Amino acid sequence: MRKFISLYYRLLCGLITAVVGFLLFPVTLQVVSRYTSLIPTWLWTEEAARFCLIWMIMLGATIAVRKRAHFNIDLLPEPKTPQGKVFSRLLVDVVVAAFGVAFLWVSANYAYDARTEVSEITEISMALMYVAFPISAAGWLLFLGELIYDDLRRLAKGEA
Amino acid sequence: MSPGLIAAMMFGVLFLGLVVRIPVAFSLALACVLPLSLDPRLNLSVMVSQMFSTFNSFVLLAVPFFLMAANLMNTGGITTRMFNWTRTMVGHMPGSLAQMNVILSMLFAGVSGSSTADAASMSKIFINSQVKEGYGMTFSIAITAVSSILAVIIPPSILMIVWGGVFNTSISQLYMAGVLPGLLLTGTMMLVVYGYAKINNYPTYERATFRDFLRTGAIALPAMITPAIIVGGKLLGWFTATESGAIAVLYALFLTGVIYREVGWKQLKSVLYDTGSFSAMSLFCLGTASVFGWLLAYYKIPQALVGFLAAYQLGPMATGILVAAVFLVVGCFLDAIPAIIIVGTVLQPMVAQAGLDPVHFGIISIVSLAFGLITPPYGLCLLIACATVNVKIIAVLKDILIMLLPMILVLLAIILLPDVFLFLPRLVTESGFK
Repeated sequence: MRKFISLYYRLLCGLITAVVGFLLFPVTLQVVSRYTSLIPTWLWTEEAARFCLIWMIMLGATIAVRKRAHFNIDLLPEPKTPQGKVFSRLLVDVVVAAFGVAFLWVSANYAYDARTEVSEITEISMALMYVAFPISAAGWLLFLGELIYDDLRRLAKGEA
Repeated sequence: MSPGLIAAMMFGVLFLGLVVRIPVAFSLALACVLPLSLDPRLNLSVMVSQMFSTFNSFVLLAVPFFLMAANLMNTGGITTRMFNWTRTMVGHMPGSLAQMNVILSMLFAGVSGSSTADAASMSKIFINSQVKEGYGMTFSIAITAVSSILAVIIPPSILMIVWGGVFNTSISQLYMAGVLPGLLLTGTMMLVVYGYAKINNYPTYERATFRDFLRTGAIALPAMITPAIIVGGKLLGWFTATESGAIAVLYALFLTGVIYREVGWKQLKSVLYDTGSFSAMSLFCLGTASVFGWLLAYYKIPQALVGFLAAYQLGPMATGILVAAVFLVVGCFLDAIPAIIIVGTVLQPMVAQAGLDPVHFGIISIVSLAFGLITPPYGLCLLIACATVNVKIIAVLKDILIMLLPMILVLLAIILLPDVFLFLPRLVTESGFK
């Protein structure tokens, strides 16, 4: 399982790198087509760039869950004991996971309901865009599951 | 449920989430769950649709583009080349290296629109070098973090692009409005460094020759053309703000990959990944903030605030001071972009009623939010600078406050002297020079 999670994480990292690189492509075409006659003025460039941005954000949000990189604030002093730190992390992870379950359910239904909708310009299925949300939520749950499991094991072994 | 009760519930859950260290993006989302679930007219799918419509924005693409341009410039040695030039400009002034820190941030601000990218690169370049030369650690961290905020005040600026997109304010005019405050804040920071250097006897380099200035300037010149391309291209109406970000990336790729040959495939992959993961985190937070902001608007909370404040009949100046105060406080707890979405949209009807110029409203807010990047507990630039050398934020607090005080006077001047600070923006329209 851990190997699968690690592979999936690496796949997400590879995908976000590719999506960010691809973002440049349609926007550059847009400028080139305006000032030269090398290529025609395509309308799909703006839509393609926007759709890539949505995927980039949701992929990045998933990666950040495993890295615990989402920004948080230190309003209270950090717990002093190792156990305190683990409990504090577990509280956050469990609450976020509970939200993740609700978000997965709602966004999966939303994407399913949109399966017949198509985009304005490229006329691709809108479900392809909306599905980024449940895929991201499933990723949060997968990575949070790993983090929670690790913390529980630490507590059980008395390592914390 | 009354707007007051809904607002209390949402802000209560948000605050509770932040206290127990739930990430800001998820705390904002959790704060929306109760109203969305309890109100029979709403449901949780509003969250997905609101986030989708926020992300589905061409303007927001500017965020990864400007961050990528800045990351490429740092990785590809452009920043180092500009560093040598600053040595010949201000190296002879008391507190040489710290003065160079400020000037390099000002120059970097012209080629990048991201303060966090500036803080990350300048922290690596300056903090340890300053400490080795005898500067105080906390002073070195503070001046590095403080000077990095210039990146969002001096054009181009990610915050100005987002502000322009959200409030339909001219980005060209916001760019021009940022020039004078940016230069004044640079001067203020240099004065602060001068004071510190005199009191603590910080080292001063020998004066460089004019020939050195020209030689290093010539090396830095290709990088310094960037602001002319991206800001000039926008002001002349050649391309949109987002497209100017893409042009900045292409130019940075050309410089670092073809001319300087310091960025190969390996470095490029790392830049793309860093850009994607960092901008995604900040934009994801914007998505949940937009749901929060939408709910506040749905329950007419901004209108309730306008009604409440209308009784006081605040004029434009008092409203400007109120806007700055609110953003200074909010900036301590929220990142700038979510703050624009949540608080900016709440304040806008009140500002419009008070007769404050929209560009003036924009620049007051952006400067105040920029200050929020260095105020704890959630000052992203300060967090980055402290993390680079593993120092606790609390240790730097005194120096940050000393540096912020004169900068707040500049903010007051921006509020109280609209004709001076709106002179430059009045020379342009959204599509170019008048």
